[in-house]
This record gives sequence, C-alpha cells and structure tokens, in this order.
Amino acid sequence: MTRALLAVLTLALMPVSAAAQSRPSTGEVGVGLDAPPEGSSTRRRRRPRPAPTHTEPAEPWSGPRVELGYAHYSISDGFGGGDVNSVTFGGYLPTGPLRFGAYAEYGGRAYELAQNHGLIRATLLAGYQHFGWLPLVPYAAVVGTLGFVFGKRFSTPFALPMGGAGLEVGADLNLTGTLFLGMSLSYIRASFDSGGYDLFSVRVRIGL
Amino acid sequence: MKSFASIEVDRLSVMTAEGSVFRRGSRQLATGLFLLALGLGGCGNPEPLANWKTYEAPNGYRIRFLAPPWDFLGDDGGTAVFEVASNAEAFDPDAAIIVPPKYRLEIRQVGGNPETLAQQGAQQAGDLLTAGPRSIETTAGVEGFEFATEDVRRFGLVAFFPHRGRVLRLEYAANLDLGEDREVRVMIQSLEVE
Repeated sequence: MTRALLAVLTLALMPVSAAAQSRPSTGEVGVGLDAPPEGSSTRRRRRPRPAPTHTEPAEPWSGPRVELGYAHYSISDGFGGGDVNSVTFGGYLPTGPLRFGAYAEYGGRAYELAQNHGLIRATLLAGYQHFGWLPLVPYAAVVGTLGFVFGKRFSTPFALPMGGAGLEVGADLNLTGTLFLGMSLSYIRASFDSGGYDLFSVRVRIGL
Repeated sequence: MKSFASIEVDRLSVMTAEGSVFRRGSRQLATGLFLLALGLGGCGNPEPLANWKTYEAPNGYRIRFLAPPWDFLGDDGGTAVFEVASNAEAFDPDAAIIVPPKYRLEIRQVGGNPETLAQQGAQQAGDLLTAGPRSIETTAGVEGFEFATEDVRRFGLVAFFPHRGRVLRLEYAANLDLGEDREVRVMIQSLEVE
C-alpha cells in the first residue's frame, strides 16, 4: 500500500520538476509553466532593477562665482552732470571668509556741455565675508580701481586715466543652487583729470 | 544638492579651526578699513573749471580755457589768440594741407558800447546772422551782448563786454554751430572784466 502511494506521488510531481529544470536560472524556484507572462505586474516586481548609469549627483560648484551687475555713481563734471550708469562683469574666488574679487565696468558718464563720455575701468576687491547669517552673506572690502574716461571736449577726442581706492560693503542673498542676488555700496576716492573725486557708488548684481 | 553657501560654511568650519585667528584678523581688517576711510574721506570734488587754465591779460581781463584742447597762441599788441587745432594739424603739424582750426578765439579791446556794437555787427552779417543780437551774462554778473553767424560750413560768434570804459570783443570762429555750443558759452561766461 505504501509503495503504491509513493508511486502515485512520484508520477504526479514529475512534470513540475521537469518544467523547473527547463527554465533559465533566474532564481525562481518552483515557478511552473502557468506562471504569468512576461510584462505582467507580478513579474516586473520580481525582476531585479538594472544598475543606475546616470543618476550620480553632480558635484556642487566650488569654483569662482561670476556676476553681472549695474552700477550708478557720479563723477561730477562741474556743470550739473557727471552721472555714471554702467554694466559690470566680474566675480570672486571661493576663499572662505576672505573675499577676493574683481570686476570690469563699461558705462557712460553724462556730460552737460556736449556728448556724454564713455568709461572703462577694472576694480580689484579684497575683504571679509560673513557666513553666519545664511542665506545672506554680507561683506566688507577694500577696493582699488583703474580705468579711463574717454570722449570729446570742444569736439576733440580725449582719454583720461582715472584711478582710486576705497571701501565697499555689500551682501549676497543666496537663492537656490549657486544663484545669488547682491547689492554693494562703495566709496572710492578717485583721481581724474587733475582732480580728486568722491565716488559713492551703488551696484546691484546677479550671479552664479 | 548643497548650495554654494553651505559649501562655504563647511569650508569655513574647517578654516576656523583656529577661530581666534580669524577673529583677530577681522578686527585688524575692520580697523584698517576705518583708518582708510578716515584718510580718504572729506576731500570733496573739485570746483567747476578747476582743471581749466586762466589767461590773465596785461590789460586786466581774465578768461578760462580748457587746455588741451585749447592752445594760447599769443597776444600781439592787444589781441589775444586761442585755438583748438584741427585733427589734421593735431596729428600732423607739418601737413601740406591747410585746414582751419576747429575753434579760434580772438580777444581785443575796441571803442564803443557793447549793445550798439552787437546790433551793428548783426546788421552787417545780414543773411549770415543765425542768432542775436541778445544779451549774455558772465558768471561774475557782467552783462554783455552777442550775435551768431553761419557762413559756408563755418560758424561765428561775437560777444561784447564793457571793460575799463571800453569794450572787450570776443570773436569765435568754428566748424560747429557756436550759437548752441554750451562749452563755448561756459568759456565766455568765465570772463572776468574790470
């Protein structure tokens, strides 16, 4: 009797073990021929996910930051003019609390008596920036500047050098990623056209 | 993703391992900035015409002129002459081509009355007259009279001011419309007479 039962069980299990051995080695032991077709939800859940190839997070930018800006100040012409409106391009180095930067400036200077003058100058900046009030980063720095004012007086071209030094204070507001907005106020004592000038400048900036 | 500011803070935390060093450094920097501000501040801007030269004539009047581009050529017995050279002459003084100066000013004393002289001059100019005669006042408050003319691509402006019982005659000639030339107007208004 016992032998007869064993023979029946052996015959019943034979097709199952044959099907299991015919399948590729996917580790799905015991799956029969009536398993769900490929693409069904059950099968997708069980398949191991492919290794990611492009989702590694990018390294945060830690290089110099660049900025575009607009500056306004006055180099008095003695006749009610002298307002300077200019665009600036520059940036600063990622040197922690020490802020080293530079920017170039191109603009126009109002001249009350004839055509407006042009202005080109470069400014270097070195100072301290404070990271204790994030996302606001205030700073204070000494600045040195050198450039040219050019144009015409009595219909005759001229190009006069200008240079000076002073102080700049400002703050950057970090928005998202490396994007920031900034505003700066500066005072520069400048020499230009055989005279000394007090330049009080305001500069707004946007940068990365 | 870490923002740049947070990276800087990380860096700062490393760099401020010797925090007192930075505190001392920032104090020194602030002191330096303050001293620099004291040294540079309060200087002010130059007066108008501060960088203009002054010509003081032997017979007592003074006039300001911007040099360059103006040159004082001399005073030959009562007529002072100033010029702004043409571009051709400025770049090549030995050029064979003669180009009139951009501006020329002759100042001399004449007899008469400023207003009468201006009216007579304007009448004589006839069709060449473009402005005036009209009154003009110097910065020092002396009233004079002027008229402007235009010939073939050459413009003129003549102004008269009382001076020591006579009349000082300023005659400009230029390649530009002098009637509206604000630089020339400032130059005329700088005249000081007795």
